[in-house]
Amino acid sequence: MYTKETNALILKNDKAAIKEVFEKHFGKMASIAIRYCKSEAQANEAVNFGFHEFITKLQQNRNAQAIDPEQTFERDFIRSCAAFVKGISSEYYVASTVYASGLTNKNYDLFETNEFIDFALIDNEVLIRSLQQLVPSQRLVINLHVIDGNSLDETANIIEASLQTVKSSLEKARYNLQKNIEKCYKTMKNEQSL
Amino acid sequence: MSSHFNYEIDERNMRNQLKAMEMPVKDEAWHSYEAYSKQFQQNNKTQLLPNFNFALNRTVVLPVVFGAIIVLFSFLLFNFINIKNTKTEKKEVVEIKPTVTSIPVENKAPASKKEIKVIEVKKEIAPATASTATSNSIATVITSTVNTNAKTMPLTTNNSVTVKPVFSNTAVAAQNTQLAGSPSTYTFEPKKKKRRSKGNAEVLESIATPVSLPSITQEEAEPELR
Repeated sequence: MYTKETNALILKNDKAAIKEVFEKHFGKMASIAIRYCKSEAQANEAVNFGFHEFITKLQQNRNAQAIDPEQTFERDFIRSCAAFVKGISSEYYVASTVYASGLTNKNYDLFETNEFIDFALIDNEVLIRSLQQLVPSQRLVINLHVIDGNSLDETANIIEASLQTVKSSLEKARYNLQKNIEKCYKTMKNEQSL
Repeated sequence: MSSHFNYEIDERNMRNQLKAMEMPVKDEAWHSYEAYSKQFQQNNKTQLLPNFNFALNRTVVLPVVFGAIIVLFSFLLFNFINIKNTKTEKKEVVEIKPTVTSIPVENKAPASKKEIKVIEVKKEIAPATASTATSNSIATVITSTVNTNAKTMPLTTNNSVTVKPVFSNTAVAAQNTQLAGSPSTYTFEPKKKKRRSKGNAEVLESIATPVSLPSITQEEAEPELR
C-alpha cells in the first residue's frame, strides 16, 4: 500500500520514493511486458515507458494524494504496454511469408507428429516464447482478452479496432499460438536432449 | 486453417500460470529507467523555450515566388501606362496656353526674320515657274488652311507652312505666284493688328516657301531634240 508520504514525495519528484515504487512493482511489470513484447529488450523498453507514464500521470494529477494508485496500477500499465506495442509499427511483419527456397531439411518420420503434448503442463518459458512469436496484433488480442480477462469490446477499444477485427485476430491468434507451442515444445525438448 | 484443427489449450490454466509469474528485480532495470526519465526531463526543459518552426516547403515557396513575379510584372506594366483623367489634362492645357503664347512670341521673332530673307530669294525664282501653275482654286484652298491654322494656333504658323511642300508642285507654284504678284493678300495681317494693339511684341511676317525642296520645273529641263 502506498502511504501519503510516498505520494507526496513522488509529487516532488523524489528519486528515492520513485525507486522504491519501481522496485516494488518491477516483478509484475516485467512479467506483463515480456508477454506483450517480442523480446526481452523490447520488454525493458515497455517497462520504462509504462512506469514513466504512471509517474507522470501521478504527478500531473492534483488529487493524487487522495487516490490509492496501487488499485489501478496494473490496469494502467497493461494499457500503456498495449499502446507501446501498438506504437511500434515497424515491428509488424507479414505472417504468411513464403520462402522461395523452401525447407531443405525435411523430416520423413511418420510418428513424430503423433507425439502427444499435454498443454496443461507446459512451462512458462515455452508459453512466453510462443506468445512472443505471434504477430503483434494477435499477441495484443490474446493477451488482453484471454490472459488479462478484458471483454472483446474493451479489447477493441484499447486496440482502437473494430469488434470484427478483434474476433478474427483472436481466432488466428489461438491457432497460431497452439502451433507455436507445439513447435517451441519440440525445440525445447531437442535442446534439452542435446 | 484446416477443418481438422482442435483447439487444445486450456486458457484458464494458461492465464493462472502467466498471472502468477513474477520476474526478479534487477539494478540494471532501475538504471535504464533513470536514463530514460532523464531523456524526457531534458526534452521537457527544452520544450519550455518557445519553438518557432517555419515550414518552408515547396508548396509554400513556389506560390510566393510566382506571386512576387506577378506583382513585379504588373508594377512594370503600370509604369508604362498612365491612367489619368482626361479632364484634368484639359484643365492643365488651358492653364498653360496663355503662358506659351506670351513667351515664344518674343523668342521666335528673329526666326521669322530669317524666313523673310529666304522668301525674298524665292520671289526671284517664282516668276520663272509661274507659267506652269495656273490653278487658282488649289492656291486659295491652301491659303485658307493657313488662315485657319493661324487663327487657332498663332505660334505654329511656321509648322503649317513647312508642311506645304508635301502638296503638289502646282500648288506651290501658284502660291509663289501669289506672293510675287500681290503681297498685300497675305493672311497674317489681321493678327499683326491685334498684337500691335496689345503692344506686347512685334510679330514679323513669316512666309514659308519650299526652299530646300526642289521643284520639278527647276530641275527637269526638257532635253532638246536633235
